[in-house]
Parts: sequence; C-alpha cells; structure tokens
Amino acid sequence: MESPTPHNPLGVKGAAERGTIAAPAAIVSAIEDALRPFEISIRDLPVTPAFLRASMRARSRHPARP
Amino acid sequence: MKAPPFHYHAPRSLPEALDLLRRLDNARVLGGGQSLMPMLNLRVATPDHLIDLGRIPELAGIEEGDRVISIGSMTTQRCIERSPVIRRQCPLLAEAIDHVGHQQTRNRGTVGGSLCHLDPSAELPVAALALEAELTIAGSTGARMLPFREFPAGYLTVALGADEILTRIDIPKMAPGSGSAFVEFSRRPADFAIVSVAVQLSLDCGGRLTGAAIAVGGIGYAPIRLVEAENGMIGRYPTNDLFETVSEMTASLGCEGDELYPAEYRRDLCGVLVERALAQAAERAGALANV
Amino acid sequence: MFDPQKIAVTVNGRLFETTVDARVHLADFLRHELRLTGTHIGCEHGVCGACTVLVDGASVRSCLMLAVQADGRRVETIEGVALHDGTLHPIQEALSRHHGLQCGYCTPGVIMSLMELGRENVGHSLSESEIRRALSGNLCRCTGYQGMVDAALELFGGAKGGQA
Repeated sequence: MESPTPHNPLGVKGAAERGTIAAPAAIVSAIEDALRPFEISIRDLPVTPAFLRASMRARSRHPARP
Repeated sequence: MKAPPFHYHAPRSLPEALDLLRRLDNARVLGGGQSLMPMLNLRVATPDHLIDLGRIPELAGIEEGDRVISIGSMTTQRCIERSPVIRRQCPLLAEAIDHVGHQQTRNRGTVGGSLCHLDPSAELPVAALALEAELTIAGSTGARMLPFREFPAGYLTVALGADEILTRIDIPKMAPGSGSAFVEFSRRPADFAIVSVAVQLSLDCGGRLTGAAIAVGGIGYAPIRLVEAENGMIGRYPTNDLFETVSEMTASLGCEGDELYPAEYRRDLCGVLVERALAQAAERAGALANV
Repeated sequence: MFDPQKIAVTVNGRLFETTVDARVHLADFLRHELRLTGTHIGCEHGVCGACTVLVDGASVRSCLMLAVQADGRRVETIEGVALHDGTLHPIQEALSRHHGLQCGYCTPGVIMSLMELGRENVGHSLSESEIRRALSGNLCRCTGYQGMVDAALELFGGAKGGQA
C-alpha cells in the first residue's frame, strides 16, 4: 500500500537522516582511490591532513616530496 | 554567556588612557575587541575596568615617511587592506592582511591588537617579524621603541608593561629590487593558518641576493626567523636549487604541534611553504628589478 | 545597571537616545532594548556571523561590539533592508529564489554581509571566489552555501556588475 503525501509533487516524505551514513564512507573510498599508488588503508575518522601526509611519506621514496 | 560586570572608560587622548591604566586595578585595554570580547563573553577574562582606545584619534592612521610607513596601533585591518600606500610600499603587509580573519573581523580588528594578543596562528606577527617592524610603546614615564622581534615573551604574552600601551608600528618601506610573498596553509581559505611564511628578498642589479628575511608562524608560541638560512643566501643567486636547500634546512626546526596538527606535519608544511614563498618573492623581486 | 552609559545611536535611520549597561553587547541591545530580534546570536564569541550588522556601513560581529561603542554611530540591521511596504530587497529576493536559506537563522547575517559587498563593488563584477571570501565570516548549517553564492553571482557577478 502506498500513501504519497499530497503536499509535494513527488509525494515523498522525510525518513530522517539515514542517507547521510553513506557519505563519509564514500568520501573515504574516494580518498583511498585518489591515493591508490600509496596503498593507504583508512579505518578511522577523521581523515586528517597529518595522517595522510605521514602515510604518504611512509610509502614514498622521497620523504619530503611524496 | 554574557560579559561580567565592568566599568567602561573611553578616554579621548593617549595621556588620559595612560593615566587610567596606571590608576585602575585589574584594567584591560580594548582595541578592536575581536580577541578580547570573545574572552569577556566566555568569561575567560574578567577585568574590573575596560579602557576603550577607540575614541583616541591619534592612535589610528597611516603615515608615509621617507624610510618607514608609520601605522597607529588602533588602525583597523580594514584600513590596511584598503591602503594604496601599504600595497605599494609594504606589499608583504598587504598580502598578509588578505589572509587575516574575515571581513567582519578586519572591519573592527586592529594591527596593534593582533600584535599584542600574539595568537600563535596569527598572520600579522609573522609579517611584522619578517619586515623588522619597530614598535613605539607609551607608558606613564614616557615612550620607548622596541624591535618587534623582542616583543613576544611567551604564549599569548608580549613584553608590554601593565601600564603600557602600544601606540605605533613602523614598517620599513620595501627597497627597490626587492620582492615579497606571504603564503599559508589552512583547512579553509579564511581559517587561522596552520603554518604561515613571510618572505622578503632583495637583489642587487646583478641579480644576486643582498637581503633575505624568512619568518615562519605556527610552529611555536611566536613566529621565528630562519636566520641560518637567511645568512647562507646572501651573495647567492635566487635559484630553485637554493630554495630547495633552504626548504630542506627546515627539517631540523624545533616545532610544537597539537593532536590535530602534530609537529612533524607542521615541519612538513614549513618546508613546502618556505620553498613556495621564496620562489614567489624572487620572481617578484626579479620582475621589479627589471623595470 | 552596574555601569550605566548614555548613548545616542541611529538604527535603521531612527535615532535612539537611551541608557545601557556597559557590558551589554550590541546584539543584545538591538534584540532586547530595541526589540529588533532579526539579528541572531549563534555563538556569542565571534565565529559564526549570525549577529552580523552594519555599523557606519561596515559589517561587524555585533556580539563583539559593546552597545556603548555604537554611540554616535549609524547601525543597520536586517529589519531595515526590505522596504516599508514589505517589498523585498533584491538581495533577499535573489536569496529566496536560489534557495540560499532554509531555517533562516544565519540569513540576516548573510544578507548584511552581502549588503556591504554590493555597496562596495558597484560597477564591477565579482568572481565566485571573491563572493565566497566575502561570505567566509558567515557560517550556515543548512544550505551548503551554494544557493547563497548563486544569488550573489546573479546580483554581483558577470555583466551586470555590483548592484543594490
């Protein structure tokens, strides 16, 4: 049984903010993909610049310039 | 929260302000309020008396002299931002101010206030150190001059006596054949800098370095000059190899960090930003020298 | 009052002569004394910009200014932006059309910042980065800012140049 709301053209209703759960996961996946050559695996949030810099440096041949 | 109760004073002259500061116990001077008002609203500061310097005309203004630009301590950052004299004669200060805060904070915040508050991530102290600003400090017994490098005394602490007021900041005009750059890294464009670098270079007509000032902020309670690197640059040509060498010297800098931006990360940023600032300043010095 | 101060301040073109306690900040004065509650308080320590008003034409964080410091000055708040008959200002109209507001809490501050931006750039057009820079002192939890930027670009960017 469907009961679209009469209050908007699509008949859609709010269902809280569960959709936002996927966003951080998508962002982290994108970061891992962007840094694929460095094979960095991210398991914790927040993803800080300092963490990324240290991870890249650990994998790179040139410490000052990844 | 709301500010605690205090007595408000709005002196109309510097002698009146100094007299109030000398006589009143637990008094604080109010500049633009962009640092002190949050402290009052959060009740981190609880003065019994607030001495507002905002109604003293002689404390604000920008004067061009032969050798220096003289800036009143109560000159707003907005004034600096919009001053053609500063843009032309002290481009490093002009570039630094573009990174300071937001429009609303620049409209009220003052140059003197920023230097006296000495936030470790503030840009103006870094520029003042690179520019070798000279401060005029007034007290009940008269005025004294102090080079800015001797002003920082500790975390959020400057060498200002309890009854003293910073009145003027003199910035030497940039010499011909010179170029400057101010670069910083922050998470979002108008955020506090994590690390910032101010550079001013001078070249002789042969293109060799006759002067180098490199100031770095965000790695300790006050900005520092990279004196060893600066001395090593004199007489050399401003090449990318030289900048890379200087950048690598920053790897041994003593650095303080925090949980979010640890010392190693800041040192890393230092190396990158120093190299970038040197290249920009050299290009601008070369461009000017060719005119 | 702990330290009463007499002030004469012009707000939205009207002169108010009154007495205020020294420690009252301008935002609270506007809201409580003058019942102009369009100016909002978001953080009260100078980071959010919800309290932005214009003082002598310049945008300020009214929570970081004491009411007594507004003595002799000209203050403009959100209440003075639309016309008396309710006609929206072009900035308000564009913001609405571009969905530059949702809950509306940050909106008065945003509008006052855009008022200053518009006035100071009459005749020349602004880039997106200049607009974002001008709005950097106004935080918004709802919109993600794009709608505000779009509204500002329509008003101040491109061939039309600075308006309002």
